[in-house]
Amino acid sequence: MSTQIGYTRPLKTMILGFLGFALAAEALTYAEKSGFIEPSLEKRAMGLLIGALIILIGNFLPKARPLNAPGVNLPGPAAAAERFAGWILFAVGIAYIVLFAFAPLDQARKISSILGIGTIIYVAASWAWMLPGALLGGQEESLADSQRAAKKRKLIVMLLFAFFYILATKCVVSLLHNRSQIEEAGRWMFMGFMLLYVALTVVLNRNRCAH
Amino acid sequence: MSRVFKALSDPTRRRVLQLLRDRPMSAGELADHFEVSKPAMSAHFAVLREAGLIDSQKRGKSVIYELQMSVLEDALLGFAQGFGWKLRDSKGAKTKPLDREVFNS
Repeated sequence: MSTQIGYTRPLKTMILGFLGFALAAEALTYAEKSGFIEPSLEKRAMGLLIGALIILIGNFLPKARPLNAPGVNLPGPAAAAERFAGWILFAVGIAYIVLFAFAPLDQARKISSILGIGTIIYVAASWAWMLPGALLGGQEESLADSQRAAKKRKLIVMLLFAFFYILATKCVVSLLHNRSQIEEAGRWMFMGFMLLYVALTVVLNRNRCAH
Repeated sequence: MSRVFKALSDPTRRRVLQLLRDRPMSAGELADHFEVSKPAMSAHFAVLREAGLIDSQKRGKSVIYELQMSVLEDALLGFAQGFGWKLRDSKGAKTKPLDREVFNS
């Protein structure tokens, strides 16, 4: 029982924050399109919003334990990498907020995008080598445990994918100026993320069936 | 949040969290690092678990504890350690330990 409370609470906060972000972003875009606010103000506000989202995800990442699940005992280094990713995201989120609050907009967009892409690459690289062990290893004690683990992993994988996809899209859009370039990049990114997501889902489901 | 502050305001509990930074440990392993009676250690674990700072898993006969701290809580632990926080009413842990937190080895 304690395990369940332990992981659903941070996960719920993350999902709620994510939905709040989506709503606020939608409202901002609408306000800019209908002429309530200036485009530059919209870009600044959007940057601040993304910064807040990065801080939220980073803060709860080590608590939600994406690589861990009931019954899986991660080795020390894997748990440490999870924690470190949380710290990095937290710091990057603060950098976003400072940049978009004080720096000239052009520079803020450029620097924040490079920071964002760097973070995504770092997190992907540091997790890639321990992901198979985290997902496939570990003996769940009971059927209930393994079902809970599968449910949790599905939720968190979905959430993190959505988060990294949004972050990557925003970064690419602010780095590229040409509209056709953006569209081209967007297509490739969408395909890449989709393929990765399907691959992960297959791995997760196979693990669940093994029990 | 007050539970977190309470949990972090005890040196023994802070040491437990620092030990768990290296790797997940069983209750017995953790208790070996302290000269505190086992029931008292169980009470400490219970306070940490209630605050959501650690997660417990039953593995056969022993209970394995793992760290489960957000970035802010981790930073708070650093502050608490640095300034040596202590509770004003030092009556100790009041939370009742669960049955499974009492050692069986």
